[in-house]
Amino acid sequence: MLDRTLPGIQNLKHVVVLMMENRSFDHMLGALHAQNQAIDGLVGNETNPDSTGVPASVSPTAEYQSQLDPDPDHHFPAVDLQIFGGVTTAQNPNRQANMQGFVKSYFNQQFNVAHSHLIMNYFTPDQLPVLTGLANEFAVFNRWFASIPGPTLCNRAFAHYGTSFGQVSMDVFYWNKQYPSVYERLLAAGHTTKLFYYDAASSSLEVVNLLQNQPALFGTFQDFLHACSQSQLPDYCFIEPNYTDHDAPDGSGELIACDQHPDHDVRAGEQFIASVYNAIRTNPNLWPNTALLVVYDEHGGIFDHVPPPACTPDGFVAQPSATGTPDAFHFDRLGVRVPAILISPWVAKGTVINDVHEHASIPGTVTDYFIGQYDNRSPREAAASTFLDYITLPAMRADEDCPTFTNE
Amino acid sequence: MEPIRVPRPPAEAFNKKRRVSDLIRAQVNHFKHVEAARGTAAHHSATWNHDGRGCCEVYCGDDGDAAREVHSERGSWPESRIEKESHSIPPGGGNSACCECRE
Repeated sequence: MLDRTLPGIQNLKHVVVLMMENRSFDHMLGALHAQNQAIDGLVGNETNPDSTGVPASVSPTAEYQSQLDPDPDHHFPAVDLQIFGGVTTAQNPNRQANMQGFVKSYFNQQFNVAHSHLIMNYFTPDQLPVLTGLANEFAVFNRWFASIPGPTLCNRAFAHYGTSFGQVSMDVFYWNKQYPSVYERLLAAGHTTKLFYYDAASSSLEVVNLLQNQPALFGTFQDFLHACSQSQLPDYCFIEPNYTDHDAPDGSGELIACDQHPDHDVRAGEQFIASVYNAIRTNPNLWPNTALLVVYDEHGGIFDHVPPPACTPDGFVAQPSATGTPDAFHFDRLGVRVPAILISPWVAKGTVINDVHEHASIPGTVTDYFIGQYDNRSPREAAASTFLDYITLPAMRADEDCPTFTNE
Repeated sequence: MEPIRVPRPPAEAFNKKRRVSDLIRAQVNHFKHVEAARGTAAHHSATWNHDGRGCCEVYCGDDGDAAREVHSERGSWPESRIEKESHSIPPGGGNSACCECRE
């Protein structure tokens, strides 16, 4: 239960969620374990067998671009292989997640043994000054998992609805929509909320499902920046990065994809995260009363060493025809672990959170905080841990104690 | 605390000819479904080659009715119907996603 007497909570007016794309925890933050043993990253001896049976080791040789091409498979059957190492339920009904199938899975895309080892690469902290800087300076989650061992859109659905309504794929037409989105809940309760997509060319992954709520719900990234500059952030907002390299719709130049989805350049995502953070951080009317969560939608097929845990089923079942495996999926197991960082001047530097969170934690937290008691939500969301509970400092951190970023 | 410098990607990282991602493919499916549900003229343009490379230009105007209509329906178009389809690009704005790819 959130302690609403804490000064950071009493000051809290805005919650901002930035969801990036397709990178695992170990790939982005695993190297931080060497600096802080509390962070459950990489020791350095983690391996996966390749298709010849030779162990492929994790390696601090990730590159910003060009290594993960083709895009590593992260659809349900591939993630099942990655998590269970290729053991099927037919072979062993009691199979255990061992995270031993990532190299085998990537091999299946090109049949190139050497290339398949690249899925074990991870970044060093100096390569990612924004993400690792924020993780070190604020609160990093050791156990934030994707909601489904599957691809982007069904996972993002959990961030908006607390469920994917039984879907494990990129098919996001929610035909049995019994739970309203967090945005619809907030609007109905008299709160302000926005989904900021990048621009008219990148659009929103939720545009079809939530389009009925425009223009009240949607805004562009420029609208977000303007709202920050005017101290007019909505109570809750969700930000989507730029998903494509494209020319600016207004003719002002080239806009590089900044979602960090392989094989987009990771540096562009670093700059984008910095721009979101700076927009809040540099406004004294927002910084004291805003909580920013930076999180990734799923692991993108990239290695992580922590087996996903079981979870509360959400009442839906994906049949084998949908999962692409011999088995139905009861939404009773989380997806692979992803980076997640909670940022607020009321969060103690170096906080490491070990409670299990997943994307249903987002609507769960936002609904609890802004609305309170709310029954019409999925069992997964109702059971999900909330994430504002770590805004616990008795006094706000000094301005010079919190980082700022300068994009080159 | 001194500002932390964030490196920028090189100019060559920008590549409009990049392989179309699943995200964009899914979004094209969305708009195709909207179009099919409405039975209206094309609101998008999309062409695909067999290896997933292709060109797409999808638009959805400021028409909330379109989303309302697909809300109660399920399913996207099968891949076989997506490949090799092409429609004219509508004039004007609206939300869009675009990507170009050349073999």
